[in-house]
Amino acid sequence: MSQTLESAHGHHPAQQHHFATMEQQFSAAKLGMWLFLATEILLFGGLFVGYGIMHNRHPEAFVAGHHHLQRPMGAINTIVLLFSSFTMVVAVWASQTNRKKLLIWGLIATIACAGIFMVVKYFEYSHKIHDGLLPGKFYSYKGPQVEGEFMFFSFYFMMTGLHGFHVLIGMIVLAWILIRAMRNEFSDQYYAPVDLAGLYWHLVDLIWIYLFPLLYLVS
Amino acid sequence: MSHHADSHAGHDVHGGPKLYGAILAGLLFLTIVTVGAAYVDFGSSTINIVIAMTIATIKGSLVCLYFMHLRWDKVVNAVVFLSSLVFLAFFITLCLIDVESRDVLRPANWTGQAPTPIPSQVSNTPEGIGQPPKPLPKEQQPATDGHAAPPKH
Repeated sequence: MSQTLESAHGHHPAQQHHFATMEQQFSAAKLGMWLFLATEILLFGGLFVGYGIMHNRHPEAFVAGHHHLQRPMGAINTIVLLFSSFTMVVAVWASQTNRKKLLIWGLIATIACAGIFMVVKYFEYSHKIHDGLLPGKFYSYKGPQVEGEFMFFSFYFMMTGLHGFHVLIGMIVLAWILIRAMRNEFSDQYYAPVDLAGLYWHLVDLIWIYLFPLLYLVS
Repeated sequence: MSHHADSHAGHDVHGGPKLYGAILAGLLFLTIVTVGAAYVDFGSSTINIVIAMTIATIKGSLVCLYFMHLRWDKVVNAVVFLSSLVFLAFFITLCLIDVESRDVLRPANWTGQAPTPIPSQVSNTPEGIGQPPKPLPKEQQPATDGHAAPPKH
C-alpha cells in the first residue's frame, strides 16, 4: 500500500479537486483515452483506405512488391508485439493488486520487446534502403519488377513508418511510467497512468495485427 | 471522505496472468494459422484476403476484449471505440465504391455497345470551363426571324 494513501487533505494525493471521487477521475481519464484511440484508428484509416484502393487496382504490383519483404522478420515482430501486449496487461494487473516488483518487471519486459521490434525494423529498413526499394520518387530499384511496384513500398514505408513512430512514442511513455512505478507512485488506489499507457500499447499491437497480413502475406 | 479500505478506486480487478496467458497462446496460435493460410491458394486472392482479415479481426477482438479490458469495462468506452470502426468502415466502403465505379458505371443489362458521348452544354476545355458554348457555325444555326444570336441583356 502507498504510504501516503490519505494525506492531511482528506483524499488521495493524486485526486484532482475538480473530481468528486477517484473513481470519477479514473472514468473520465479512461473515456478520454478511448476517444484518443478512436482518432488513432481514423489516422491509420486513411492509409488503410489508400492501400485498399491501390491494391484493388494494381494487385500484381502489390504481390511483386511484397516478395521483397522477409516473412520471418514480420512473423518475429508479430510474436514480439503480442508478447509485449501480454507483459503490459500483466503489469496493469500487478499495479491493480499492489505487486510492485511484477509491475516494474512487466514494464521493463514491454519496453525490451518494443526495443527488439525496432531493431528488427531497423534491419528490414536498411535492407530496403540498400536495394533502393523506397517510397515514391526515391524508388531506385533496378532489378526485375512489374509496373507500379514502387507503390507497394510507398504504402509499406508510410504504414510501418507511422506504426514504428507509435512504437517509439510508446517506449517513451512506458519509460516514464516505469520511473513513476519505481518511485512507488502507483497502488491499487491509483493506477490510471499504467492502465491508460497499457491501452495505448495494446492499440499499437492491434494495428500491427492488421499490418502484418496486409504487407507480408499478400496473395 | 470514506476510506477505500478494499475497493480498487471503484474498479474491480478482472482477469489475471493465467487468463492473459491463455489469450496470448490463442493469439500466437492464430498468427500461425494466418501465416499457414497465406501459403494455401483458396481459389482467388479475394478469398485469401477475406480469410486473413477475418483471422486478424478475431485476434483484434481478443486484444480489445481481454487485454484492453473492454469485456468488463464501462459500455461507453466500447461504444466510442466501435463508433470509430463503424466510420472507418464507411470511409473504406464508400471510397472503394466511388473509385472502382468510375468510367465503368453501366446498367446491369449492358450488352457491350459503347454509348455515344453526350455533347456537353458547357465547355470543358481548360480555357473555357463554365463558359457558355460557342455559337454554332452559321449554316447550322436555327433560323429565328433573322436574328443570329439571342439578344444579350
